[in-house]
Amino acid sequence: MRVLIVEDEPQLLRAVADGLLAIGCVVDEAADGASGLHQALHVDYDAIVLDLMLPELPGLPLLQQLRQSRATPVLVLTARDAVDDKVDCLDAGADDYLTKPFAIAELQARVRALVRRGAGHPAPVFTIGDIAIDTSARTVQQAGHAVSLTPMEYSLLELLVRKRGSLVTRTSIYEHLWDDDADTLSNVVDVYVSTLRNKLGRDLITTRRGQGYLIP
Amino acid sequence: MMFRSIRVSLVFWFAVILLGLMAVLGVVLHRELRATLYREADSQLAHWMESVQGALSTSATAEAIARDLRAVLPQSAKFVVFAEEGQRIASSVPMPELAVPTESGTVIYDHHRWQSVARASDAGWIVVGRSVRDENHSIRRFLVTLLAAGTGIVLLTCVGGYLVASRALAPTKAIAASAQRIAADNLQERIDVCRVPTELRPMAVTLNESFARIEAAFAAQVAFTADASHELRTPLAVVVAHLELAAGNTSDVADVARRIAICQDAAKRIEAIVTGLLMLARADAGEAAQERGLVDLAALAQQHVQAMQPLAAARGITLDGASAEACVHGNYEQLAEVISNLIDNAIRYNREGGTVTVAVACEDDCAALRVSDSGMGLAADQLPRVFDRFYRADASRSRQDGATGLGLSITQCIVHQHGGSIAAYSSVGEGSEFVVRLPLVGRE
Repeated sequence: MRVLIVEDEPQLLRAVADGLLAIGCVVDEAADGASGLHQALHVDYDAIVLDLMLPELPGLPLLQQLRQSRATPVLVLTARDAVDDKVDCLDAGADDYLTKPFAIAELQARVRALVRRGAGHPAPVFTIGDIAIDTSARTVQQAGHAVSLTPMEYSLLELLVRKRGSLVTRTSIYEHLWDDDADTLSNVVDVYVSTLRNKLGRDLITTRRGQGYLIP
Repeated sequence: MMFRSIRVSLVFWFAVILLGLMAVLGVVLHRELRATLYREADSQLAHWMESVQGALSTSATAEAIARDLRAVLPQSAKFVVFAEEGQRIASSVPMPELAVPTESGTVIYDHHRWQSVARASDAGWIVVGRSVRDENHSIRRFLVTLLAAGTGIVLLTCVGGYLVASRALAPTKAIAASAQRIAADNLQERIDVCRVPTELRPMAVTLNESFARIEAAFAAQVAFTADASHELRTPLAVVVAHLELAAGNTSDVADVARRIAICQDAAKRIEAIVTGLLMLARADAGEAAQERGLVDLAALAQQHVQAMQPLAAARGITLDGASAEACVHGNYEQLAEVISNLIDNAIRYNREGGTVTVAVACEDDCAALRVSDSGMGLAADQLPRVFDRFYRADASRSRQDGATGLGLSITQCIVHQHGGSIAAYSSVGEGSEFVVRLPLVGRE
């Protein structure tokens, strides 16, 4: 999962980023509204965590501009807890909000829920044949037995499962699983796909030569 | 007389005035009526008297007089003729019980008008009388009618007055009801002045103005509370989030230490905001400042110009001070805070390589502290708001650098507590100037 955090308070940005990294998210950061909007419009994020009080471009107009072209799930962080403020932010296109101060565990849960809903599958557990993928606990079971996956293997599996039935291009995989700074080799995805096939069975993931992968 | 109820008091005074007017009218009418009726009787008496005097001129004996008089006067007339010594010479039947008159004139006695005339021939009196029973009866009937009508009119007036007063006071009831509703649930509503009678309009307008002031104060309070909670929540969120992350990963000591340092910074910011709010709250509550003494504003400004040189230098800003001795009466720490806040602001909102000038001078009977900068300046619409609590002229400027958003509010508060004034002058792109004026004290 690749998540954008738009937050001008650096220490809070740090905390949110650490919290999301801990649940296996790839995190991009923006310290002001203008660059936040720019990134949000150019990268297909799984979710955006957005503070309302931002320099350059405040959160609400950012949200309104984003919604003109993108349906990315947005979790708003707000220090204002008046009903009007919550209504305003939801009506501007936010999917959820969290009032400061908040618990990191709640932030993680809300981001996970947003990503699930964004993928059109609100239940936290996906099942494919005898494989059960619990996106809350980030665990995989096959025929009732736990399968041990590395974080990157799990993230790749979750990405493919979320987009089950549709082709996931290599570019899209890179976009969702690595941030822009990562130095990725072209065959790194193939390596992870092959280890996943080894652990969960050969037929799980189908290769479309030269295009990408999908779980049918 | 005082009544609690306007209606009762109105009706009471209506009734009193009306009773007075009716009484005066009654007395006047009664006198006029009686005078008119008696005048008629008197003119008849005078006529009779003329005939009597004509008849008596030739008569001599008592019998003759009595006979003559009876012949001259009508049946209903009464008469007595007195001799000089007071004995009755002749009289009508039955004989009226009249005393001997002492002078000519008309008297009323036993429902009769009596006219007395001295006899021309010799001493003695002729008295002729006529009954005024009918006239008196008419007068009495008039009085009874007047009393009955008056009572009726007064009663009707009381009832009518009460109704009219109720009607006239109905708008006040409506206004009171609106006012009550506004005070209870919706401060944004107003009394509809157009529908209020002219006499009550000033009251309605005053009430509306009061509501507007209450609403503004209320809104300011709500905004302030929201701002304060917003300003406190962000650093609080930092503390809560980092503590949770640190508690979840205690094995990484370096990470925990880093997070504790972050929490400390956030806690310091919370402390600064709370301290500022407390100071403002105390000032709002009218708590007097601490001990005061003679403070040389110039020396104090010079000290701060020296002390803040490193901060200015770090931003490449030239910080200058020019001062003439100017003593004021005040609290040393608080005045130091005023100066440091203003210089701090001037450095913070300056451009790279700009200048800050601090000047203290005596102007009339004031010590004037001027802090001017070459910064971005403030727009005309922002200028009046710079002293508002938590107001940010530049929304993009976050509080990362330790600003609480309360500095200028606190500065203004301290200046006001010292009986001074503070003003801000600015033009966009050229810089701002803050001028503090405090009452000057001569050094003893």
